[in-house]
This record gives sequence, C-alpha cells and structure tokens, in this order.
Amino acid sequence: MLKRLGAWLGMVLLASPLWAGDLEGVVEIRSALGRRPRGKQQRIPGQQNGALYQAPARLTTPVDEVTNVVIYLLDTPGGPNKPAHFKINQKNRQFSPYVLPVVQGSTVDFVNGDVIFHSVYSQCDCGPPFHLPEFPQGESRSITFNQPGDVELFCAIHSEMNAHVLVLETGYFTMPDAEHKFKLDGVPPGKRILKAWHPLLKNPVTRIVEVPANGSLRIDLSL
Amino acid sequence: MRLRSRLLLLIALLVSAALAASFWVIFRAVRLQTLADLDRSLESAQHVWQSLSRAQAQSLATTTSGMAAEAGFVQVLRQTDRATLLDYLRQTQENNPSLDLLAVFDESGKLRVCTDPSFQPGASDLLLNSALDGTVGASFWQGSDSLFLAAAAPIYKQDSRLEGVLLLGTRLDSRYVETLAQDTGVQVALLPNRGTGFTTSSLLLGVQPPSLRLRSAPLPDYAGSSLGRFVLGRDLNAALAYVHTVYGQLFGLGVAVLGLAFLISIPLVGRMTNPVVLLEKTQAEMDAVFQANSDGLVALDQEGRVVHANPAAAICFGLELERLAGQNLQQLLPEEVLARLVATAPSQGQLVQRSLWRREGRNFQLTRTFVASQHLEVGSVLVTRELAAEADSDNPIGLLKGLTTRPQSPEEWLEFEKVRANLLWLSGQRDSDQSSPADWASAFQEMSWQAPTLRPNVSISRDCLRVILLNFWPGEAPELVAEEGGWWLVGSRPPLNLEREVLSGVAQENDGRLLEGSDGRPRLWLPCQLPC
Repeated sequence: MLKRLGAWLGMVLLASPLWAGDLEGVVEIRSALGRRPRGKQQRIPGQQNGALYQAPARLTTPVDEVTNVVIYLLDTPGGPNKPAHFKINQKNRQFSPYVLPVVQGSTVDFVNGDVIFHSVYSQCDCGPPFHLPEFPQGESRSITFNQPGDVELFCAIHSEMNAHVLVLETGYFTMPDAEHKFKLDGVPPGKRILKAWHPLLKNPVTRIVEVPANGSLRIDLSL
Repeated sequence: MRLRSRLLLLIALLVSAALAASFWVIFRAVRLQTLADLDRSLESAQHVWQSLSRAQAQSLATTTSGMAAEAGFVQVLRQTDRATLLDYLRQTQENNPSLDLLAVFDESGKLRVCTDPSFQPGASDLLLNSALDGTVGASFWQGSDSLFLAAAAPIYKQDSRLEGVLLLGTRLDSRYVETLAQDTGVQVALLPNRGTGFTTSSLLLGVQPPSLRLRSAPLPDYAGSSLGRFVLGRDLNAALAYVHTVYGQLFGLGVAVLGLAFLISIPLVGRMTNPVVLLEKTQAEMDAVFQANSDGLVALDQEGRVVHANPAAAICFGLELERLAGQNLQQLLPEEVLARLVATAPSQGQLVQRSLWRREGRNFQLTRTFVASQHLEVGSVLVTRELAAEADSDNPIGLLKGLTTRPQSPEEWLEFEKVRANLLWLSGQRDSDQSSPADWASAFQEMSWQAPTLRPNVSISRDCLRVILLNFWPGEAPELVAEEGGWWLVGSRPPLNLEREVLSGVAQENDGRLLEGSDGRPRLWLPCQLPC
C-alpha cells in the first residue's frame, strides 16, 4: 500500500512542477482582424453605381477567427506540448486545420483527401522553401519544421488553398475553444510574455503577465 | 399662237410647280422620317454600346477573376520577386493584345506591380476598393493618361482570405471608337474629362452643325461619377445623301421630261395654229361671200349702228360703203319706217321683210333678222334684196330711202333739198325760201323721173306717184282702184297727221279728193292717168 502511494506521489511530482500557475481567459476579436484596411473612399449610399459588371461576393462558410488564434508564451522552454507527428488534411480544396501550432522539430503529414491532385509548397522566410509535388488521393507527404516561424502553405494547383503552420520554440501554447476560452496549465510562475497570434495580424498581440505560483491568472485578450 | 404658247407655257409651269411641290412634300416627309430614324439609330447605337460595354466588362471580369485564381499566376505572385512578377504580367499582356494594363495590388490596396510604369493609383478607386471587399467588378476606369475599361478581382487565399487584387484594363483609344463605329454605323466620340479623347468624326467636336444629330451618354466610373462623355452622332446630310441623289435625279428627269414635252409640243402648237389659219381663211372666204353677195347685208350693233356692210347694201341704201359704216339705222331709214320695223320685229330669229323704195324709184326688199349672238357688237343683221329687176309692181307702196338720211356733204345736202322741195312743191306746201323745182330740171332728169303736172288728164308716172305717195301713205300696200277719169288709192290704216296733211295737199293740188272711211282708212282720188 505504501509502495503504491509512494509511486503515485512520485508520478505526480514528476508530472508537474512543484510551483506552477494556470493562465486562462477569453479571447475576443474587436479589431478588423481578417479584413483589409479600407480605402479613404467608400461607396456613397444612394449614388449611382457605374459598375458595368459586378460579381457577388464569394460565398464562404463563416469562420470563427478566434479558433485560429494561437496563444503562446515567449521564451518559456518546455511546456506540455512536445515535438510530435501532426496531420493536415487536404479535403474539399482546403487545408484542415487552417492553423496548426507545433513545437519546433515536429513533423506534419499532408494527406490528400480529395479525388484531385494536390501539392504543398511554402515560400516563407522562416525556413528553406519547399515544394511537395502533386500527389493523388489517399497519399500523403510529410515535412519536418525545424525553424520557428509562421510557415504559410499553399497548393500549387489550387491557389486559394493555404494554411499556416506556426512553429514555436516553446511547448506552452494553446488555442481557444469554441467558446473562445483558453487555458494554459502548469506555467512556471513569474513574469511571462504572452502572445496571441493570428495569421491576419501583422504583429501578435503581446501581454506581460505575472504568473502566480499557485492558482489561476485570468487574462482576457482582445484582438 | 402666242396665246396658245403662253397657255402651254403656263400649263408646263403649273405642272412643274406641282411636281416640285410634290417632290418637296415627299422630301420633307423623307427628311422627317430620316430624322426619326437617325434618332432611333442613335438610341439603338447607344444600347449597342452599353450592351457591348457590359459584355466586354463581363468578359474582362471573367478573365481577371480567372487569372486571379490561376495557380500559375498566384504561384508566381507568391514565390517570385517583383521583377519576375512584372515579367510574367508583361508576357501575359503580349499573349493578350487586348489587355493594355495589368496591375497587382496587395491586400491593403497598395500597388505591387503594374505594366504601366507611369500608373499612379488613386486612393479613392472604388473599383479597387470593391475588389478588396471581395467583389469582382468592372467599369470604366480613369488611368493615368487615358480611360480604360477595367476589371478588378480579388486574389484569395483559403477561406476567402484576401491576398491581393488583380486589375486588368483595356484602353479606350481610337481603335475602340473605330470598332464601335463600325459595329453601330454611327460616328463615335470619346471625350474624357482628363486625358486624350478620340473620335471618328471631327463633326462631333467643337461647334456641331445643325444637321448633326447627337446622343450623349456619360462615362461613369465604378461609383457612378462621370469620367467624361460618350457621344454618338450621325449627320443628316450624310444620311440624306442618297435621297439628295434621288431628288436630283428626279429633278433632272422632270426637267428632261418637261423639255421633251416642250419639244413635242412645238409641232402640236404648229398644228393648233392651223385652225386659226383655217379660221382666217374661212373668214376671208366669208368676207368674199359677204362682199360679193348680191343681197345687201348689214350687221348692226345693239344700238342699231352699222358695223359691217357689203357693197350690195351700200347700193341698196344709195350710200358709199365707207360712209355706211357707223351710220345709225335711224339715219338710214325714216323714223316712221324704223318705228314700224321695231314694232313688228323683234323676236329673235324672226325675219322681218319690208319693201322699200330707193329715191330713184327702184324697189328693194329690206329684211331684218335678229342674230342669236352674245357678242355685244352684233345686235342684228339686215338683209336687203334688190327687187328692181323683178319689177314688183304688186307691192307698189314703199318708202323713200334716204329721205331722212342726214346729209353728209354739200352735194348730198343739195340733193336732199331738191327732193324735199319737190315733195313740198308736189304737196302744195311750197317753201318760199326754196327755188322752184324747175330750177332743178336737170337734176330731175338725172333722177329719171318727172314732176307730175297738177292739171287733170295729164299723165303722171305711176312710179313717180308712188315715190311721192309712198313716203306719206299710211299702210303698206295701197289698193289701186281705177275709176273713170282717175284712180282711187285706198290706205290700209288710218293716216297719221303728217300723212293726212300731205295727202290732203296732193288731193287739193290735183283736184282730187281725200276721204276717210268709217274704219279711218284714207281713200284718195286723183283725176289723173297713170301709165303703167
């Protein structure tokens, strides 16, 4: 009995730091995130529209941009997330998920779920460009991301397909759930730099937080 | 002939005027119809232009959106630098000559690359802004130096995330207006507010002539603001050129027809003059007949003056032909005789015949006929017939022609006075101022009759007696009844005062008697021998 209790305590101690706090909160988007900066002139109501041709705006499924926000801590090694194998599906001419945060050194498998060919390429500055040539349905191609940064992915055949793999040095990151709530557990106490990243944000939103040794710190983020 | 020619000329002028008026009315109607057709054609051309513009805009927008979604273009856009992208766009432009402008903007509307180095994007470009809003649009678009028909399409990433905007433009230049002019058949002018304009006809610029029909339409940009004017025009004179040609041909044809008709009418006019010649010939013949007729023919006007008379009439009346013209019938005939003629004449066409005696004693017939004529100068015609040769002794009572004729010359006056004095002498009413008839014995001899003696048993020329008595004898045909020692002369009507006075004088001077019956008819008995 004592052995069992000692082993359980030992596992608990090994599994969690001795002093760690939690960060939790709610993320909301109030800015023009995902929208371009508008020009000075807007369409004047009532003014005659001189358009000779006008196509309706592209019909898309409404996307909750909050679910694409990645919240991570800067300069905080370790963390619950470790380098691992992830999968991004290519289905219905879309990469899914659209945003995938991974720890540096992780490998992502791209699986073609469409009946048509797809490819994967990237030209970002965060690493060497790569191109995974066209591959058919059911096959997959893999690539390992060793350099941190936002790696934007495209399909060479279908220009509208793209995705972001955010390669992080830390394992302390999370994404809000459907209720826009997020929680980072086991964060070492002290002053930490918390960043909220989104593909359409030029610069991530930064917060300096004082993580308590015990307990939870609530931080509501407004992007 | 002149009248006929003038009439023909007038008819020709009237026909020409009628034809010209008809052509004018037709041309006027054609002109109005052409004006309406021009307006309709301009309206139709405007619709064609708008439809073509919309079709071109849709085609350009489709091209633009297709290129914006083309993987090769997007790959070049994402994977290459600005110079490579510009080369790609220029290569695309070479492959599509209709594209005059290709520009790529980033997601914030900032120009990344453009095939036109001078292009300076405006911050208030609603077409670009609309594309940045995700709308594929096309409209007229103001470039740096000219107008474009431009389309802008967003370049999307996944989940409609905007990556940029692709703008393609076709320059509205002379080629554009010429092509449109060929398609619509009208003159086209593109007059932008800024930059160079183009036109297919200089008539559309500056002060337009009144014959030019215009239709102007604004050139709106994507927001509806005017970038200039699009002018369509057609010249009425050009549209009516064919009508003018036809009108000229018709005019020439009309002139030719009239000239030909005139030429043809010349012999006709000549033929029409023949009746005139024939009429003149007939008139000459009738004049010859008139002059040569043994009957005396006298044409009188409505006032009884002699208009025409032939020589036979002059002989009958004992006057020269020249002096007969213009004489009034009252001067030619005794007043009483004239009164009888008038009283007994007059229904139209009725022949009135009278027996008259000339002063030398010969008898002739006077026939008067009214002529049914509307001519004012011809009222009636007198036809006289010489009956002296026939010796119509059964109609002994006549009138002494010329007794009342006004003397026209001293010789006539002398002749008249001799006859008058003789008559007065015979009737016992001598004029003391007058000399005796014996003084004019030679004159009497010339007149081939002798004055009757006043003594009984002295023979007297029956004709002379008639000459004397007929002038004052009542009635027309005195009845002669022989009685021993003399003759009874019976009148047919009661005598007039003058007649009674003269007859009484004759009876008294010749130891005769004058009786009047219960019916008033005079009965004169003369105790003389009347040699027949």
